[in-house]
Amino acid sequence: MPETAQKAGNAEVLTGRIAEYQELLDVLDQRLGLTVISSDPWSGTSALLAAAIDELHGTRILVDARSCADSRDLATAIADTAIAQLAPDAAAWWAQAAPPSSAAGLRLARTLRQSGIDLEDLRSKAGPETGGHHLADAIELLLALADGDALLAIDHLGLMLSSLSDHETRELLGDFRAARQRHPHLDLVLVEHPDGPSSKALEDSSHPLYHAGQLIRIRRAKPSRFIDDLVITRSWTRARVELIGAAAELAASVPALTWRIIDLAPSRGEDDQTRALVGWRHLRETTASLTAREWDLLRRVHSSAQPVVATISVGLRPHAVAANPKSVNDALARLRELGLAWQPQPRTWALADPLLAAWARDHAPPWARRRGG
Amino acid sequence: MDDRIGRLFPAGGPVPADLVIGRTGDIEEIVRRSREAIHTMLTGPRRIGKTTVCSAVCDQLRQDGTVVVDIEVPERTDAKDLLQLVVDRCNRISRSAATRGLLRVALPLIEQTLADQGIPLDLGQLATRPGSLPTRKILALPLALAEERDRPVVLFLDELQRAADYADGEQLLGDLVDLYSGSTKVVVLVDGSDERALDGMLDASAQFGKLVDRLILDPRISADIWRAGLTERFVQAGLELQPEALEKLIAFGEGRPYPTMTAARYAALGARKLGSATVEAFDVQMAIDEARRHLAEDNHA
Repeated sequence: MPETAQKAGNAEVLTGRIAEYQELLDVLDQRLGLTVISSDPWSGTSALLAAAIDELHGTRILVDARSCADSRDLATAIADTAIAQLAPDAAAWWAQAAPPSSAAGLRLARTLRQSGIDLEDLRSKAGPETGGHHLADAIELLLALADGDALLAIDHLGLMLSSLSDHETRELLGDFRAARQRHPHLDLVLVEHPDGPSSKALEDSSHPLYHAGQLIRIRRAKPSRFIDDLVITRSWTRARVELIGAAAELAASVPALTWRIIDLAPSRGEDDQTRALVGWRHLRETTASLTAREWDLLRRVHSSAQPVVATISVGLRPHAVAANPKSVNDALARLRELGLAWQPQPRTWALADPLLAAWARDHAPPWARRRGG
Repeated sequence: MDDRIGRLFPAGGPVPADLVIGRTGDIEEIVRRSREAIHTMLTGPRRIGKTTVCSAVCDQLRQDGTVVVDIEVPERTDAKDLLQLVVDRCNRISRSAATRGLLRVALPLIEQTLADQGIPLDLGQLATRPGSLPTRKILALPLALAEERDRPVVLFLDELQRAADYADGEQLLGDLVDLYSGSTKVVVLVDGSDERALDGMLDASAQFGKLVDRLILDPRISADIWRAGLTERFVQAGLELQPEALEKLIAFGEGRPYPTMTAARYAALGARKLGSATVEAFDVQMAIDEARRHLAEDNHA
């Protein structure tokens, strides 16, 4: 039987991330207003944020912006989550799965209309064509249901912003700023990758978000951190220390993949290194078709994305690609925006997904294999 | 009382009226001018508390029974969203009065006024061509509110300089001047930080200077006020700020609200993280280093 981590103690979320978790808890608990979390891709920040928010007192909701194409979608997602969490008896009515005359729904609609919030506009995405109006209404709705004091965390906001124009991004961030100005008891947590538009806006004196909050940087852990943190999380998992360390190395410190390797490692074997390697190979086999598809989709990211990814995967510098340097830079910027590539250190590039990195290495074009050795 | 650090040491956002340190004179001055129907433009660099001062003014005036229509001017390419905010805010006030039974009318006044003029509540239904919007009719809604409620109205436009960049910004500013320069029922209060844009607004053909008196907010608050305010604030947080630590904080901030409050916030947060009840000079030095890093990052822009 495979050796499985006990999930009850949150070992999967916290091992290797204890310091970041404590920092998040300290900052979010003191309600510092606007916090931008700039996190390396695949660093386990989403799980960490969810766990930290779960620990907090008071009204707090967590929205995943990956399902949103624009600020109207985001407004609807905020309203959906707020109602599901804070007015659950009206959730079916809100989702149009209950009769329009449902008492809970009518009660909610009447209460909010008195606050000037038109639920129909929000629910149907009708109304003024720009989303700022909806976003403001969704935040008003949240605060009305929360009795005036709430924390709104928007995970993966950077990914959503990457599909908007600069102008739309500026407007959306300006709308967040306006919401904070209007409601001092609204706390916002915005999550994005390093050098995302929100963290840049905090430093841009011409931007509405200038100096409006603080930045928390969450880096991907080094594999050794998984071992170090076992001092605290040891009792939450039965996995052997050496197995965890080897899995973290193979998974390039991606917490979710580390624990999947441990799950897939055989319960008996020669040594922990070998067991982790077997788990890693098993993981690669089971995800190979999805990873291949991820590789195919790189064509849609940028015309130079595939060669750049292949180059990085064999350990070459991205500019080794035989393409215009501007095109390579654009491809890198796009890959970074989407969380597909990142910079562990300045002037060093790596692929965020170790499975894609391994797949690309195995399928790299001949020129890249030859030059990469 | 909410003693969380973010609440007691607000930095980078609006400060609730009961937590404002200093600025009493500025707030009283603007309240006095507003009561005398003098339109005011408060100017100064960013992050010195202009919006905080104006919000405190609005709070005081509300307590006197003044109706306040407060709007943050959005960054957009034209006035449509700003006008939508004017419609929404006025309608909300009008509707809440009707709901509370103060006025026995079939339709709240603003909705009725807009319907009479063929303007939908949702301006998205109108043509989007700049200049085709019923700007003046919408900007006149606060006047209708003043009539309806038989009370003075303050129209507070935060960061109005953004409107100067609208494609139809000149028309909007001109309409504000025409509508309100002779009005005593509606008092216009605006703030703005971009000196160049503000100068443009005051000098250009819109001649916004005809409407408002400009008041400059001092970027610094005196050390004595900080001494009293910060000491009290740390006490509210359950922390004792030692005298040497206090002086270090004040010397670092040089009277400027944002750096002072940022360093104070880091000091309080550090003490709370460590479970300490006392904030010593060393703790403040650590907080100042953190604040300095934060400010240095900002200065890269």
